[in-house]
Amino acid sequence: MTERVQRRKAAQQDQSTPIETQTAQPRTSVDYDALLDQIDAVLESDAEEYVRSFVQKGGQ
Amino acid sequence: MPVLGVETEYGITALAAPELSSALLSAAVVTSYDGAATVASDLDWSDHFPLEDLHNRVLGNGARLYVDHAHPEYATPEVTSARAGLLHDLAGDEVMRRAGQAASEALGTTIRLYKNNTDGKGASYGYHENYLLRRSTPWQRIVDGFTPFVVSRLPLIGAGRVGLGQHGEEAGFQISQRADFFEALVGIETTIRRPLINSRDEPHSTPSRWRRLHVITGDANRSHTSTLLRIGSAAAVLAMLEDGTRLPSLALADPLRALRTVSRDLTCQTPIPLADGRQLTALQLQGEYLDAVVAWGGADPAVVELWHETLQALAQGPEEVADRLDWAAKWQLMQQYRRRSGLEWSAARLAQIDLQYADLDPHTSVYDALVGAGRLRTLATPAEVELAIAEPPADTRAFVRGRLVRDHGASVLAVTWDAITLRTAAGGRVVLAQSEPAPANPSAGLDAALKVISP
Repeated sequence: MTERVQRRKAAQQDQSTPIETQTAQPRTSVDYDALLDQIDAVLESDAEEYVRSFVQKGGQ
Repeated sequence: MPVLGVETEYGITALAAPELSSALLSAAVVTSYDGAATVASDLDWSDHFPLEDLHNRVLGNGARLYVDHAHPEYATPEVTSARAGLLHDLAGDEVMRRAGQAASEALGTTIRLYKNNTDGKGASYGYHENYLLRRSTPWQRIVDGFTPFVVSRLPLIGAGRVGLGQHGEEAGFQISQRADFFEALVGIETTIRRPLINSRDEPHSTPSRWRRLHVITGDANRSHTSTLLRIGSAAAVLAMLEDGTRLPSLALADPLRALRTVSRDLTCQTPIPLADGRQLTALQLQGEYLDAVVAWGGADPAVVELWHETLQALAQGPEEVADRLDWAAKWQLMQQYRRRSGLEWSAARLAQIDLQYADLDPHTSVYDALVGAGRLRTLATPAEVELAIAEPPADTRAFVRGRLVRDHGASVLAVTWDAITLRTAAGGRVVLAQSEPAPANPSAGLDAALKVISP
């Protein structure tokens, strides 16, 4: 509950200060490079084969 | 708050052993689980599928682990709150992950399990919610009151999907995994011509008192926020309808078309035509339901707060909810991949991310990677999930079922949702009826059962 309230307050502050959000943009894209590297590390290497072999029978 | 429970059918593959059928893999998963549970073959569960009879187990927390068609499935024990629903939903994921690991070792090949709803090639499998409603609640009131709700809730509960159409015949991204698989408004089917409102009526309790509403439109979520909201908001709306609260009419002009429109509208701002000529967005429709629930006053305050807060954030766009909702987290991540690598929506890499997001193995799961990177918030701790695996809910009949299976398994001869057959000390059989899903005193029920086993 407390965490949610804090997050909501933070979100409201973000909305009222759009300029800060803009200046934060370069930092965000740097974060994304690191994040995509992390995600790449968990992805199987052959995407085509992975997707092709994921075949399920229908259920409910 | 109605008594409720959820069922998850998991996707299943063994990439290195394509010769093993999904039915065989599913059976291996169910039989390999080594937590507290009945032995599969000991149980007498009157189902129509032979495989289910043989691969059907009741766990020490009161849940059911079984094979349904060609998927392993987990049905949570009966619970009475959204919070307990979330914890037992997550317990199901963890039980399934452990069972999959044990089955992988037994078969000597890696089995992967996915909490998703489609293979993108025409097959869909369900995530079903169950809400117990008083038999006296008029059916048409449920149909009229609940249909606009299940259509408009997609932005809150969508798991996100790469591909449009049942076979993914068109490239693109949509909010819901399941939306393209609904072809009827009301009906009894769950595998063909799936209806928005399912009329299957197996209460697993006294039929003159109860109806079990079987809700089949939901996506299977990894997001804790979506799971909590999906269960909590639906339970509140249904309890309100059951109470006879008059809702403003929100009847949609074309609910099936609206479902597709809402699933494809990542802005959540497209107006949906109502039967009375008005036009409201999905978020406005949800706002109407939320207002009605608040005025009614019977909902869980934590659910109301989360519902309100999530609708507010959704109105700002997907980026605002990418830290808590599956579809938005997926979409935002894929947008970054598209920017970095110039990928089209038809790229196999994006379809792969969609699938691996739902992988239950934290080493290969995109969802778990996002949580680990602090990109997705969680609402439950591993310790809470562990407790939900070990302990049945204390306030429903699942308490009696789970405790007997966990602590007195040798005396349990057969279990169904509403009856338990016990072996008496003298070697006889006694059937213990469990027709009331939420009895006043479950622990007294357990005491009575223990007297049967050892008087």
